[in-house]
Amino acid sequence: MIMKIINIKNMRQFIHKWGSPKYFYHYAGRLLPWFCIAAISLFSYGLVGALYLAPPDYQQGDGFRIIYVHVPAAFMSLGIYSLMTFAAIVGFIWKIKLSDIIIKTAAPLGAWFTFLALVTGAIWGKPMWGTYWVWDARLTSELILLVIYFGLIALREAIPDKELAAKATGIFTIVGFVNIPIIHFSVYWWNTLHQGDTIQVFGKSLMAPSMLHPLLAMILAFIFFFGIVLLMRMRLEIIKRANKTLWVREFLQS
Amino acid sequence: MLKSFFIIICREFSLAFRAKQELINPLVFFVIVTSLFPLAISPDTKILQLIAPGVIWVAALLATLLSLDKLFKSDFEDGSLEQMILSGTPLSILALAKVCSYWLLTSIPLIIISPLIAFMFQLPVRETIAMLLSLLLGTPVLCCLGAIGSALTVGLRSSGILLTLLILPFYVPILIFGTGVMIAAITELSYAGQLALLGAFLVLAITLCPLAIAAALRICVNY
Amino acid sequence: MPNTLSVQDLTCEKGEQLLFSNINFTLNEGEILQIRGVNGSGKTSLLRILAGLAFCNNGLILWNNMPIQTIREQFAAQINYIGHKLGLKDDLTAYENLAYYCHFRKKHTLINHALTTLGIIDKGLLPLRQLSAGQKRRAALAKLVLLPAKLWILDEPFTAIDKEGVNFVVSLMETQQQQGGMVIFTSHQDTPLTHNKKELQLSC
Repeated sequence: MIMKIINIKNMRQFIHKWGSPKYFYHYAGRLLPWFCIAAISLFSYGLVGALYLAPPDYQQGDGFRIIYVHVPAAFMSLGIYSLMTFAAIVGFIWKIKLSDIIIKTAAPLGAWFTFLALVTGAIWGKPMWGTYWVWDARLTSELILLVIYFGLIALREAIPDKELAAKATGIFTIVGFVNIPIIHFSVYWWNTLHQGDTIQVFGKSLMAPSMLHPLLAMILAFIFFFGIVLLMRMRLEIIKRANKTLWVREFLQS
Repeated sequence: MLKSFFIIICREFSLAFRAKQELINPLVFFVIVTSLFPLAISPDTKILQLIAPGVIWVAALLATLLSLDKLFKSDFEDGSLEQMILSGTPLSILALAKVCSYWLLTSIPLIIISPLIAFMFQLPVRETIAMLLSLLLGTPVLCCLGAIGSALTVGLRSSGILLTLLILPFYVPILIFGTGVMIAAITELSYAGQLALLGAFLVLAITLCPLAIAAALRICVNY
Repeated sequence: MPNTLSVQDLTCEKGEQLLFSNINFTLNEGEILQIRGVNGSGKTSLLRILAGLAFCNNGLILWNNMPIQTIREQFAAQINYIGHKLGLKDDLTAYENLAYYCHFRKKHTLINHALTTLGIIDKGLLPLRQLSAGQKRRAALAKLVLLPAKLWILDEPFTAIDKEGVNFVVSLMETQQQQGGMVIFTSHQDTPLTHNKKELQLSC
């Protein structure tokens, strides 16, 4: 019991330490080069594997290679939303400022990845389905996700007071997160043309390893790329918000 | 607590009946939109029956959205919202009362008149019943979800479009299963499954939405 | 146990601007606090924070040594807040407005008594939109008579009301004080209230 209390206290301290903008600013700066190295090496392995080493698909020919962008983008579109929801919940419980900075800076990135997934899906759809847009379940739910991202960004822009905007967007993020599985499931029930899951975490994948490994590398590369952009945007936002505090002034003068 | 709930509903009703014009708006909108479609598409019975589920549900959905931005606006402007927060009753209960009265005042008239629309679309009795059931279970969910958006945008100047943008994605499942019930009825299938899902959404919405609405109102009362 | 309200290191920022910082005071039973300050010094914001409506950036508000955020509903049940916006419906009459506030629990005569105390009994059955600003404020203040509360938080209670009205309100505050209640209000005016009165000057 006592151990538990100590742990909770430590956890709170840990979160507040990481949640303090100053601490985060410095550590994010140190992390950035490592993220760059990881992203570059994963991208180079993934792209060579995707465009050169992987054999053409026996049905889809070289057209299938767009999945090396499409799948990671679609993965990121949901992953970023989950991250934002996590940040929103943490923000509500521990009331730390960093969580809102994450939500604010990640939202446009999430919207871009969603947009990318939609566009690559449309390009892929033309040779496969014979048309750019079909009301397929996944495409539709991706489109709805894009609308939710737009809603989030628009809501923040509409509220003049920054702190209230932060709180309101936090609520909307969580409400959206509860709804996304419901939307996804209902759209799926409504109509599906999309091929089934290719990658399965548990059980055997339906993909040849020579095709699969570059895909996994690309997903990781996208994650690191997102990490780089997110950290840079967050650092900028921290400086903007805290431009009156002492450490930022000292930092800007030096 | 129950008393405060009914007091709010009482007050909403007496307010609504002093501004009757507002009360009729969604109903008129619903009737006009649905009766334009046969003119615009075709008077053919088969086609009418085909488009009926979509037209009726979309019209009902838009009619719900029509005055949604005003749900908390007057309470915000005259300070009643502050008093509601400080009333000592949990705000989620009061929010639920607001949503209930909104549903009773806008959706119930619409549901009552919908058999007439079904008649215009030449729907058989079985499908008319399916339509009534789906609207009865679906529209309260629309009101609950819409109230979250309404609470988040209360006090913002251009809230109408923003509210629509925020809420429409969440309306998709209700639209799908609402029309699903009617389509199943028209193709002579059992629609109990879709109806049960709508019921599940309703239970979920009534339990969770008031919490979100209350949290949003506490924040947005400070705009 | 006597009730206390104590405020520690309260700080509020609006946008980028610091409204006030490090506000400290304690209010005991039977005490009145008048908050003064020039326009824009954050009087209304302070009252909204004290009532638990707005958020402060830093600091603590303790009601009987409990932070008010943790006892939200209990605290709300003990206060009577009348803000800038009066919380009355224009389409209802003054009488109906009050009746809804007390959940129809109070007797007809009590509501009439409240309206009489504020001197608007003859306007009680008119829709509120036909009343003048001062009469509306009096109708809102009638809530104080009708619903007993430990702590009154009044934002500019004397605006728009005439001399007679001011006297009504002052006597209401004195009664509240004698009954062991507390009052916090903002005003520029000097009031005849002197007994057990504290003042807080907000400066930009």
